[in-house]
Amino acid sequence: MKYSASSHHSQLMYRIIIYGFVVIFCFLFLVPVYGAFTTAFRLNRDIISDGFWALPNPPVLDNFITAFVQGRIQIFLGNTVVVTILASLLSICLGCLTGYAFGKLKFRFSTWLYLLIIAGMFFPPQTVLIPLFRLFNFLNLLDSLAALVIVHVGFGLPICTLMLTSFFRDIPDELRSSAKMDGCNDWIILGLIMIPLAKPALTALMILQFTWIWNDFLWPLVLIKTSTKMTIQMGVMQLRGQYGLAWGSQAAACLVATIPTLLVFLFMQKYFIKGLVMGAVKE
Amino acid sequence: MDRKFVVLQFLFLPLLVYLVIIIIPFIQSVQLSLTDWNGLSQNFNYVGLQNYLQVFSDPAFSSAVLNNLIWVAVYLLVPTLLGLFLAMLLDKDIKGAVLFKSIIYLPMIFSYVIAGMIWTFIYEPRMGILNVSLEVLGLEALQKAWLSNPNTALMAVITAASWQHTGLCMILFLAGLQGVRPDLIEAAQIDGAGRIQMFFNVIIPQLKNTTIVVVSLTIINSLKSFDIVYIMTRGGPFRSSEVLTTLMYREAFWNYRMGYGSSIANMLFLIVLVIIVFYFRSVMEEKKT
Repeated sequence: MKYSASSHHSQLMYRIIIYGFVVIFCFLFLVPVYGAFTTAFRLNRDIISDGFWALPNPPVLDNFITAFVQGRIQIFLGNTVVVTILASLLSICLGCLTGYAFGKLKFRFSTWLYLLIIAGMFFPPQTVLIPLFRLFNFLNLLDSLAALVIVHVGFGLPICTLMLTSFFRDIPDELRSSAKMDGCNDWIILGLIMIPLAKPALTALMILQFTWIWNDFLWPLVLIKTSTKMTIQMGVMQLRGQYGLAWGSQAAACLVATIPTLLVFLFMQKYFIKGLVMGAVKE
Repeated sequence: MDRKFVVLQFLFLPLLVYLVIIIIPFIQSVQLSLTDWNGLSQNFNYVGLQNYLQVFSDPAFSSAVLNNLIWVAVYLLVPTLLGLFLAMLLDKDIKGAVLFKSIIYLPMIFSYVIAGMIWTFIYEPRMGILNVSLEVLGLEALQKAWLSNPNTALMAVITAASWQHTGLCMILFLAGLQGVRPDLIEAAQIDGAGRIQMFFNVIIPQLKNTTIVVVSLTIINSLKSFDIVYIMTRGGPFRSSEVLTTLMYREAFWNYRMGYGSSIANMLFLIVLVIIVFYFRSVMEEKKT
């Protein structure tokens, strides 16, 4: 988009002002990230003597060693990997089923049922916190990773349904009817025709689900008690409680905990953004 | 008959999960809010609407609602407008736009827990960058213990959350700007519209639907905020940064008042429901046109 250039001079001024604003905001947005980085690579006594914001001189890895050896964050990371991958995959599988049903099959009340599920996207988890706590207590699943997986599959279903319904709906009906004539049933059509076509939507979903579940804190806080079953977000918080002023190892643990989402962001940014936009704007 | 069976095959498992995780617990939540359950004992008594009556006379509840309203207001003013502003600036093909966009998105990849911890470093009274910068600027008088001062704790937390929320707003506005029709812009240019006129009379009206989406998501996100408050202040000091979610958590899981906690959660649900209905109606209308 280009706006009218009343004169070359004003156009130039305008550009400089734009750059000025953008650079200032980007700088402000990076300050906290810089803080986390520099803190992670400095010794605690240096932080206390020179403040938080000095450059690491020289950068040390002690904090990372502390986070792993004393904080044992590898256990939390392992738990989080299991929960995140299982819950993302399962919710996407269920989303393929609902997506196909709502996108390609016609049945009574389908719109209402669809809206009921989609509305779950905005549902405040607090409303079901206590009943689910009670349910998992009853099922003896409190303090287990299984409970986390189940909850995340349930809460992931709305977004998966939304994105896959709209994706499957856009696939021409002729594809389905000609496959039917060749004798395929709906399961084969979904598995062999629709799902391979849906790769972009599936990738975007995988990324969104991965990021959300990886970063979730509320459910482990309520459902997990034993430290060996904690997820990374809880583990990071617990580290703060245990080693009160160990700023360095806290920051190091924070950085390690952010690596997976950072990688996703660096290499899959397009899908990440597409997913976010689709999730918000599609009906 | 056969077709119904197929639908059932596809929907059975997902609907079962949805029923067990969302629908039935929601009904139970309504039921529990009518009891005095303490979370531990086997039995509880039905107390009617007593919890709700108590909610309305509880000063902690009204102050949490007020804090939520402040949160919504700040979220609508700062990250939303900033997101729109940055989207307008970065929508043009200026050099480095990709890099600048990435920097604004970057905070989104941090969890609220980690964002909260990083911002705790910033607010640290003695060594944090905020107070250090104020000192460098000669503004020592403004230095505060940001998170332990009841006057600043809430705003300090909301600022940290805004850092994360701006990227989402910008993404959505950028997507909306893709749909702005270039012919209308050209027509306005031919009519001699200035930049400000162009913005308010040509671009903003075309962003109406995007704006509804962003505003709804912003309100819902601010009502649902929990992690970052819990990490940074736990609602304190003296409940000055308490919001509905943290109040509910405190009552249910610290004070073992599950019934009372449920009634707070249900009030939160009612508020969110209003926004969801509004949001769905506007998105559906857009679909029709």
